[in-house]
Formats: sequence, structure tokens, C-alpha cells
Amino acid sequence: MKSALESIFKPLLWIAVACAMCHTVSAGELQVLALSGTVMDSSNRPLPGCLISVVSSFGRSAPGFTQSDGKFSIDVSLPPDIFPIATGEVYLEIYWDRTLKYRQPLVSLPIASAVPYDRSSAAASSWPSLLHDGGRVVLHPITLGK
Amino acid sequence: MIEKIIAIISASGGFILMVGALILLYRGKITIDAINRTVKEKPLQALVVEIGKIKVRSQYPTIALFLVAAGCFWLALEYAKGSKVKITGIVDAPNAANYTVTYNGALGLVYSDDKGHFEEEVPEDVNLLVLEIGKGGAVPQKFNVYPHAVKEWPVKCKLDAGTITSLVSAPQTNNSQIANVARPLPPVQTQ
Repeated sequence: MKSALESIFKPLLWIAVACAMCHTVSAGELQVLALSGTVMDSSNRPLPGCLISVVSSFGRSAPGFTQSDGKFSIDVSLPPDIFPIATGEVYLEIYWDRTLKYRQPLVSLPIASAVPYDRSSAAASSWPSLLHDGGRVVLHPITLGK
Repeated sequence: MIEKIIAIISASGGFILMVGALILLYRGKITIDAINRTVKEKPLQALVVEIGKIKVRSQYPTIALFLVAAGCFWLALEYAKGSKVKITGIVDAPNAANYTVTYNGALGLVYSDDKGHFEEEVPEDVNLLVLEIGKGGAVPQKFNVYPHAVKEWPVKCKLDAGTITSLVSAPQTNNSQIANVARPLPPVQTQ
């Protein structure tokens, strides 16, 4: 009885300590990616009222609408511990009312300009680095439709 | 403010007690056995905790200590979740169905029903919600809602002509632009 209970409590101790450490690290390193861009239709007209969000299996960013000129701007908070393993599994989604019109991996989207928060390395403007360290990113215009 | 301080103290105390009990157990300073034979002869007297009418008795003090600590920690966590308040609104427009309502400040999104009604639960301590209401092809419109100042629910959101009228038609769906996903993704609408 004694050894059985102790064998349960010992792993619990390590799990509790590990959880406390992980939580502290994650909370301290949460990064923000300020993402902006423009959504157009196939005739190059701006599309207002599209709903934009960034999503992965870990969660979804606060959504934002495109404005009258088709421009959008959203802030994406992503914990760094999902990178670099899952960089290909972070998607930009665009909805027209309730209909999904666009979903592509964020890292596949061409960057028009980027200002990384960490400018120390040469690769700071690359997607993996931006997703890890945060920054401001302007995407090339996205065209929906045929 | 004082409630938050008590909750933090309770959570910290509970966590320290739990970890401390586990460390002492791991290092063999305490055991899970009944405290000793003397106490066994008078069962249920090794540890007694009385809070009002609630009485906790055990001859296994380590387990009892752990449970009391876990109880403190759990209660503090439950308090930390905070209570929520229901925000209800109505879209005032000729065809109010199926507008998308985003809640900046609460990170939520809902759709209005056929009559323009929408509702969402948000944390009670949110002082300002910026509702942004829109639909495909129309210019979205923002409304500031101060939940503590609202006297009558649902709040009425009267839309401008620009938000009611779609400027462009829906783009055609191009399936090649919709990537397949290996793992299921969280839904866009708040659950």
C-alpha cells in the first residue's frame, strides 16, 4: 500500500514542478506579430468586410475585418514553444460571412515589408524568425477567387 | 482588490503545501502510513481540521495534508477564473440576419440570428468592449459598449448605410486557395 501510493505521488511531484516551470517560461516569452495586408478580388477591387484570422491547432487569433479599401490589420499572439516544429501549420484564414474562402500557411505568403522586434540576426525578417521573435509584417495583396 | 490578494495567498499556500508534502514524502521525511500505533488505537485522530461545521479527520496525515492543500489551490483557481457577464445586442438594419460581430477586448466572434440578436459571455471585469459588426462586401462599423454603464440589454446597434449595403459581390471560391489541414483547427465562432 505504502509503496504503491508513493509510486503515484513521486511522479506527481515532478509533473507539478515541470508544469510550474513551463507555465513561467511560456508566459514570459509570448510574442506578438502585427500582421497587415490587403484583400482584393480577381478584378483587383478591394474586398471590404472579409474576416481575417490566424489559426493553428494551438488556437486562433482575435479576428479582424477588412476595411473599405480592403486593408486589414490584426495582432497575433503565438507561444514560441510551437516553433520551429509547426511553422507550416499556422494558417491565415479569410472568411466571407460564414464561408471560408482562403486558407494558406502563413510561411508561404510573400512578405512586402517586415520590421522584426529582434534585429540582431541577418535572418530576422524570415517567417520562422518573425514567428519566434515577433515583429510587424505587411503582406503582399491577397487575391481571392479564380 | 482584497479578494484577489486572498486568492493569491490561498493559491500560493496551497501550492507550497502540495509541493512541500510531495518533497517530504519523496525524501522519506514523512510516510503515507498511519501515523503510529498509538494513533491507530484511536483511529481518525491523527489530523483533525475543523472549519465551522466542516470537520476533516484522518489517520493518514500526509494524504489529508495533500487534500487540504489541493482544496485551497483548487478554490483559488476557481476564483481566478472569474465570473462572466452576458452581453446581448441587436443589429438594427433592414436585413439584420447573419452579420458577423467581433468583440475586441474579449477576443470573441458571434453571428447575429435571423432577427439580428446576438449574445456573448465576456469576463465581468471588462470595462470597454469594441463591437465591430460587418458582412462580406460591406464596410464594418464599430460600437463602443461599456458593460457596467449599460442600463438596458440588449444594446441596440444601428448600422449606417455603408455597413448595410454590400459594395461588391462575393468572390468565387477557389478550392486551390483552401489548404487542407493535418489536424483539426479551432472554429472561427466563439463556443
